[in-house]
Amino acid sequence: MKNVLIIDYNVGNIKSVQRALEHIGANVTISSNPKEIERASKVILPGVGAFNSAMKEIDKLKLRKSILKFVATKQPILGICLGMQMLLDSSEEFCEEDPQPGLSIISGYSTKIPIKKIDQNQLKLPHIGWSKLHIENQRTKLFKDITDKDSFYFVHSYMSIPSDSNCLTANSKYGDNRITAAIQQDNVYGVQFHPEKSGQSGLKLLSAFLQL
Amino acid sequence: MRNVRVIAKLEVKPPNLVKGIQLEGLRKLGNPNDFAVKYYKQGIDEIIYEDQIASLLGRNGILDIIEKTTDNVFVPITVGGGIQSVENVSDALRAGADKISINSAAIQNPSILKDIAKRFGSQCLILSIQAKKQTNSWEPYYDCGREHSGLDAIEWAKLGEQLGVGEILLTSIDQDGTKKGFDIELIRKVTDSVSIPVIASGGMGSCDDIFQAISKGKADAVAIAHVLHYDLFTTAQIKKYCMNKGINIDNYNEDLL
Repeated sequence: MKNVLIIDYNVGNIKSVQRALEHIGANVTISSNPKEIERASKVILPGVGAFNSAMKEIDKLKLRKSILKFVATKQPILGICLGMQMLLDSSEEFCEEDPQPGLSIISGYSTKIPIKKIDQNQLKLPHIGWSKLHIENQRTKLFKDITDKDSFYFVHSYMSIPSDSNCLTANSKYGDNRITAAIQQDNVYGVQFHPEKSGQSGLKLLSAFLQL
Repeated sequence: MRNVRVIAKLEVKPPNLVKGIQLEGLRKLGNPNDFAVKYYKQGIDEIIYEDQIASLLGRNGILDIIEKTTDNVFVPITVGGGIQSVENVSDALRAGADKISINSAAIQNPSILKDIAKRFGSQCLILSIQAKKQTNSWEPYYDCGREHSGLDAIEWAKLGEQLGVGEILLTSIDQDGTKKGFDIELIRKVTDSVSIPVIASGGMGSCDDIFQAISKGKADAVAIAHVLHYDLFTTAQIKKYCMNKGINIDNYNEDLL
């Protein structure tokens, strides 16, 4: 049985992630217990919602340290959507009010997707919809079963810019914008899309994570 | 060109899936979960549940349906009908919903939109506008089309965007369930007035209706019910038709046709 722990910080669609993982045979623990997180064999940091309130919840639950301790064990961690953005240093989302620092596990920040005119249709924000991935790093184990037939569900207004371009493992296109679709640094993985909401394509990616 | 989504809209009167015409005369069609699974297997992009009896807090209500659906359907799921508070949103998300749509409570107290957007993010908040054509305008209705708001649909959509709504689900009550095509004029007026995605709903009878809603109405997504429920088309057939007309749809699998 593959064990995986989902961090529960009172924000986000934990159930969706849990059910997708259970569907592919994982043994899922949902926890906001710092000790439990540190001892886990695999961790998922889910995310739906606003960056600042999410980071506030993480700090309120005193989870920042345990996430960093878990990362230091070199076991795999996957941040999903906002969870990926939280792995970085900061976000410009609602930054005019009480900006919260990110986890600073991977160097970089998140910024609002720039809007340009395309095909006479203005790009909409949030970016909501399915897109294919342009995989920058074919050796990324997370993508081992992903082909050009697979597409993934995105819903976000902010995009992540990792400082080190080697951390960028996949892009996707939104109008003229290249959006960071996935990042990786050693044992730390992040995806902007929602694999738990991307049908069979997403389940394949989550299976690859369980096999890491 | 942008990618367009095809969404199944499942109106429910828990525990049943129902469908009416112009929001009235609801007929029972069966177990909503079976329909959701069927559409998922056909390659649907999203599912929207609309609860006709606001069963959010009751036993065997909408949350139970969501829990069951999310066991084997892995696309985004929206819940609407009966959301009154930030706590209701939290409950719906915890049951497995990805987004919530809100109509009545927002009309009665628009600031709830701001509260929800701030707490959970704009991406999980859909403003549902159920509009009825007046002489020179469209008026949003609520409580399943029973109450009229006195608002103007276009102005209400703009205010919703300002208050942090991430998407608009725009239903034409006049067209709903009639299979006579979308209200293209209404859709275009709203898509020209806001810069958030607009989901067009109400009236699909043919694949060309969807093409018109996207090309002329500039809809970002279409929500369909009747033609799917009665097996007039499958999701894959609809997507194939739109792609042949030059519309971008990324989530498409030829094998599902």
